[in-house]
Amino acid sequence: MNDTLKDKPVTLVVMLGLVCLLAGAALGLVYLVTESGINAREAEAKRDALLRVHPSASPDGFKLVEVKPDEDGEPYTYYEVYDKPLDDKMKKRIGYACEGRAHGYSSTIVVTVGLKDDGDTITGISITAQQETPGLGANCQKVESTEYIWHIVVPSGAEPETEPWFQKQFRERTVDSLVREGKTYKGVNAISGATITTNAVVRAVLDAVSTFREATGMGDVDAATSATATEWTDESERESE
Amino acid sequence: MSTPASQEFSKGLAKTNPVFVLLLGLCPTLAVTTTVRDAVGMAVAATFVLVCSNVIISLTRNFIPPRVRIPCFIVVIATFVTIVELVMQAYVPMLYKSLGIFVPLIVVNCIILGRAEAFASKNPPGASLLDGLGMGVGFGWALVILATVREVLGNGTFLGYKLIPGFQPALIMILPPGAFLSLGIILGIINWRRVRRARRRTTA
Repeated sequence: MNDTLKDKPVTLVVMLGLVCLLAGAALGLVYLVTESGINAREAEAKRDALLRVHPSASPDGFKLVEVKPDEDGEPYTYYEVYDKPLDDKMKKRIGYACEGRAHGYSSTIVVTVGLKDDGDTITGISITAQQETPGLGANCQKVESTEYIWHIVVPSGAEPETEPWFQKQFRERTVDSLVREGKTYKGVNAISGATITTNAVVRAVLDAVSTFREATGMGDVDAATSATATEWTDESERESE
Repeated sequence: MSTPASQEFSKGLAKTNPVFVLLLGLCPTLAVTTTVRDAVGMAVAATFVLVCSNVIISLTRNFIPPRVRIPCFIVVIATFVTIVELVMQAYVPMLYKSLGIFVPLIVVNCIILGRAEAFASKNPPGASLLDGLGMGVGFGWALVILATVREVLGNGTFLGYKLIPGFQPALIMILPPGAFLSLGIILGIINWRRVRRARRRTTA
């Protein structure tokens, strides 16, 4: 290629287009290879989350239920949870699992919430998506380390902790006990340096439960709780994280 | 044994270390050094992108018209970053989760664009590969040092293992100020040593 041709606008456009085309083709190829892996991981993560929020459920005991509020409304989905596999006649419903979301510090936090049959007691929560600040808000998914460095050489023999400490504190709590107290929620230990994320997770839990109750007609979340849940918006939340 | 090839590699480790000497790529350096594990993951991902983009840019350096070289660099870099993102998502979801937004942000890591412009677009592929590898490893060890300081002091752990029973970690070290403090002190030590060495050489 000589220099005059190289500087023509047409060459510039063609070259840039060619580079983009090749890049697109390469990406398409990689996507084809990784797509099944990504989907499998997502399905796995979803199943793990459901089992985590309902530890006493059967791994095959989750029934997807779809509710349509009206003709053209978005369908709402939740899970009915059984203690035995779905095809077992002796199965008994032990609760529900639903999903809620709230905006945290830098991302939308998605939480799966397990509820007992009364629709009020939380069996567990699992944060399934968040992009909060690493080292701060992202610690909502952090599993507390119990192993000391010498346990690499001398195993401690203790069962390793698998559940993040922050999510563990929601177990066996009633939804109505999640009330605002000052800057945080009553009885919810905040993540250090991440008050906004902490509160967003609680709001996501409340969101999950209130949309679930609304959709299934189980009655509203206690008026006081839902009022405080909507009252303070992000504005009162602009503290430092 | 100071063949030019080994120099292309080793210059990134110390003499022109991207973080400690060139002060490039400070955004990921400050942001993902809260744990050693994240730092290693970030270093591996960035090194992969750096090496691949260096090689591709070096191979195409004679075809790409100079006037559109920067957009071409960006397209190449963004492509490799997306590849890393997809692969991470499919095979190491835990790391993908904890690095979060900083994986796509590798695109704007100025070490990568800097090496593409300053080195790969002017040198043959072999040298560019070594340059990318050296810079990547240099970036990596800088990240690991900073992350070690911050994780040990700010979280009381190393690679997720606790170190000293009853140690109350100083939260500030894993907050943004901790990143500036540790980086500043490390840079101070490095510069102090360099000045001292240079002075000794002139007096000798």
